[in-house]
Parts: sequence; C-alpha cells; structure tokens
Amino acid sequence: MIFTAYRLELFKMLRRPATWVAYLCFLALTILLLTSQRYGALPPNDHKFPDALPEVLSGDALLAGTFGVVIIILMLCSEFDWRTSRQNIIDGLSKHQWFVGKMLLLPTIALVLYLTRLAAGAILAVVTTSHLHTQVPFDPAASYILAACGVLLGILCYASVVLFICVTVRSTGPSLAVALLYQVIDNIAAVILRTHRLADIAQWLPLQIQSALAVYVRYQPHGSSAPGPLGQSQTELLFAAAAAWVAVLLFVSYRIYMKRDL
Amino acid sequence: MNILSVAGLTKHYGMLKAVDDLSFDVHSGQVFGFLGPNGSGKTTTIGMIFGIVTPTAGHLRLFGSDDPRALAQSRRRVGGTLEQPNLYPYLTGRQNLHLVAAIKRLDDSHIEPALRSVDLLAAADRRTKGYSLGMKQRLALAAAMLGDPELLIFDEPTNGLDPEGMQEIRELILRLSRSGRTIVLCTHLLAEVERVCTHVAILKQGRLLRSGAVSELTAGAPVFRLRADNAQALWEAVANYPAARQMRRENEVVYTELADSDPALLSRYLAGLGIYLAELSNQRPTLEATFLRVTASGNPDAGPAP
Repeated sequence: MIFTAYRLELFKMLRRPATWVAYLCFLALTILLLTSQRYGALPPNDHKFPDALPEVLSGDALLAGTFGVVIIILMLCSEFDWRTSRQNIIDGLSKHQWFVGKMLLLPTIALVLYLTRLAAGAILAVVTTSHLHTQVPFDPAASYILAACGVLLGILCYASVVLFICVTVRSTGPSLAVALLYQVIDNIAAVILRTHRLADIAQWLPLQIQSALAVYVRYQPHGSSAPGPLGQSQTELLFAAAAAWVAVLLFVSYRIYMKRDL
Repeated sequence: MNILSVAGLTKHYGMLKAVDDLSFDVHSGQVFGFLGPNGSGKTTTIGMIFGIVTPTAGHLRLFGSDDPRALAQSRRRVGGTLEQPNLYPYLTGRQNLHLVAAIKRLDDSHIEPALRSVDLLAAADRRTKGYSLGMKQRLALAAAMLGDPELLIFDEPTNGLDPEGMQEIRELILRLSRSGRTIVLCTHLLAEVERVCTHVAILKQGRLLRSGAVSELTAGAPVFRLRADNAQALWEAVANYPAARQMRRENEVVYTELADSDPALLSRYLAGLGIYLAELSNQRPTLEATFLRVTASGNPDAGPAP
C-alpha cells in the first residue's frame, strides 16, 4: 500500500500545473546560472569534459534546494488547505501510509532537480565548448559519485527541514514564508556563531552542511584545499551529520503528524 | 447486525468538551440521523469514527471489532465525506475518482458507473475547480460510494446547496437507503432527516440527549388544533373538559392532547356548550418539534410537541 501511496503522490505531482511552473522556472534559472558561470569568469570558463564535470556535478545547490522547497510545500501543505489529507484517510489510507508516501517524494524531488541540473550542465558543456579547453585527467569515479551523493544528501537535508515546517505549520503560504525565512536565519545564525568563535557549532546547521557538501574539491583525492571551515578529513562527518539531520527531522515530523488530529 | 457501536466516546480540546461520554449503536440497514445544533460535536464524533480525530476516551466498534489494527481494516468498508467536499481542484472529476479508487484498491472500471450514478459523466474530464458546489458534493458522494462500502457516513451533504441541489442529494441518499445500505447522515436540517432517516441521535454540547427510531421520537398522543369564534370561551371550555391534557393557546388557536383520543366526543361536548368549532385538526408531532423541545430544555426525557 505504501507503493500505492507513493504512486498516487507522483500522479498528483505530475498533474499539478504549479509543479511544472516551479520546475520550468528552476530549469530556466539553472541554465542561466550555469551559463553565467561559464561566461562570467575571465577568461571564460568554457571547459569541456572532463574539466567541466566538477561544475556540473556540484556547485551551487541552493537553487535546487529552494525550488525543491516550493514543490514540497505545494505537494504537502495544499493537502491540509484543501483537507484532502483527511479525505485520503477517510478513503482508506492509513496516516502512516500517507506520511511515507509524502516522505518518499523528498528524495524523488531532490533527484529530479539534481538530474535536471546534471543534464543541463552536461548539454551546456558539450554545446558551448570552444577550442580553448584544457585536457586534465579524470578523477577517480568515486570522487564524482561522492560529489553527486553529497549534493543530493545536502538537498535532502534542507527538504527534511521543509517537511518538518510543513507538518508543523500545515498551511501553504505561511510554510513557504517560514521555509524561505529559514534560509536567511540559518545563514545569519552561522555568521553570528562564527563571530563568537563558535564556528564548530555553526558548521553543523543544515544549510551550512548543504553548502559544504556542494564543494567539489572536497571529493578530489588530493583536495586538501577545500574552501570553507571544514577540511577534507571531515567529509565523512559531514555525510554523517546530514544523514543524522535527515533522520531526526523525518522522525520528529512523523511523530508530530501522527499525534495531531487532521 | 451491529455495524457501528460507540461507548463512552469523549473528546476534549483543552478545557472544552467537544464530545462527552457519547454512546449509541447503528445497526445494519438503518439510516441513522445525527442531529444537533452547530458546535454540538457531530463532526468531531464523525471524525473519530473515520479515524482522523483521536478520542480522549471511550470505545469504538466497527463491524464488531475494536482492535486498533482491525479498525484500520474495517475503515476500508466505510465511505464518506466530512464537512465540505474535499477534492483536488487541479484534477478532473475522473482523476479525483482514480485516486480514491486506487486507495480503495479498485480498478478504474468502477469510475464510469460511479460518475453515471451522480450524473457527472459529461463533466468527468473537467477540472473540479470549475465545478459548482452541487457538482462537487455529488462527486464527493460518488467517491464515497466507490467500492460499494457497507457503511456510508455523510456529514452535512447538502451544506451550501440551493433547493434543487438539496433535492438531488436527498434523492440520492434515499436511493442508497432503499438499496439496503447503512447510512449515517449528519445534519442540522431536520426536514431532511425526517424524510430520509429511520433512526436519530440528538446531540447538544457534545452530549447525547436522545436517540431512537424516528417513529418512537415523534410518537405520543396526537395534538388537536381547535378554533372557534370566541377563543376565550373555547379555552375555558376545553380547560374544563376531563380528557384534555397539555393545553396551550396561541392567539385564537387552542392546542390540546386528548386522553381518550376521540375528537368527536370533544366536538359534541363543545356544541353542548354552544361553542361551534371552525377548525378541528389533528397535528402529528414532528421531529423538528421534538428536536427543538429536547435541545431547548437539554432534557433527554422531553417528549414530542406539535
């Protein structure tokens, strides 16, 4: 039945015009961002593969996170606004199945947005490459895979924060406001903590983890010059912290949803 | 067979007792009216039956089972709506029913007959955000009926409808009841209940005031409506009539019950006093009158009134 619940979530998501509007906006902004990254730099950063792989695989994950937020909130909170969540339960779905169906949307949305970014970046790299490209050897496959997993886990971490907001607030407009406000608060909190020499704490905030996981050099075999407060040695810790955030936020969201009346 | 049994069901929201120690039974084939003024706890009770509101105390048995796991299974044999029709506005009527059918583990072949039964086949492929309220209500009823559930629970199914829409829904419920389904109908429209329901429960402030067969609740000595040229003389004469009970007067009209239930004797008695009746009619006690009397007094033992 959980598979049915998940299938129905996909059915609803794919037929919702607002989802497609959000997705197309994300696609357009992703192409713009990648194009500006390639041509905004001096000299133009028109890398061909394999040089282009790091910028395609990782880079800015905030855009995917932000649009992921919008789609998740649309898919979750409108169920409370329209009271279709309670109707689903009346029709025979258990609360557990309903929640798991929604929860499975998180990695799906993260994956789709990330794959879109990969596809857009790869096409752009192939189409716009000039003769100026440099040839460097490929990194080990593990580096690329880890980079992709890191970015995905980072998006999932933010998505879990949003799920928590949705089941707590249960209204589309306010949830959207709180989720976007959270982006600001997380970053401000990180700055404040750092200025008070509490950088060790600041780096473990969900969005800080997301940003740190999106830095490609972290995954290179000799990438000791990883920017940001975390060194290469802490990549494993970052993965563990992101996974822990995801687990804790999903568990708390589940408990809140199950406890509250619909 | 006992389809639904509720014992000591209670729901508190902080200090507010939304439902207070509620007990009633619904048997197979009954059309059970759940009556009460706004805020009497009807919707909260229905929510607890549907499993979307957690009771503070009490027991609920569906199809003879009160085990929480079995209850979840039993709820698949229940269809219904709560308050307004809860539909996905960006989906068509057919797609909305597809979702419900999938949840109920039915294939899409059930959708067409369901749409036909509520006369929505022509609008099936339009998005429901363009539907009128009556169409939404009908679609919600079609969704509730998918899979032919043994128990149907409708909460205010005629809310916000025009008289024509109300008539349509009423006829639909009547058709369902004639087909032998057990129906719980939650409403504050008493005429609707009297026409459709076999049994009722009357609630006020979360408490059950009365429950039973509609015929029992409206039973009692018939009330006679009397009118004559001289209302004062009529009033005094009836007051002296030995069989007169529960008299009251409204302007020129006198109402009374008769212990012997024989209006011919009363007419003859009044004629003997020179009072000739311009009107003598038998008023059957209505559910509305019973409801008003019970809810106004808060007394479960309050009897029927004209």
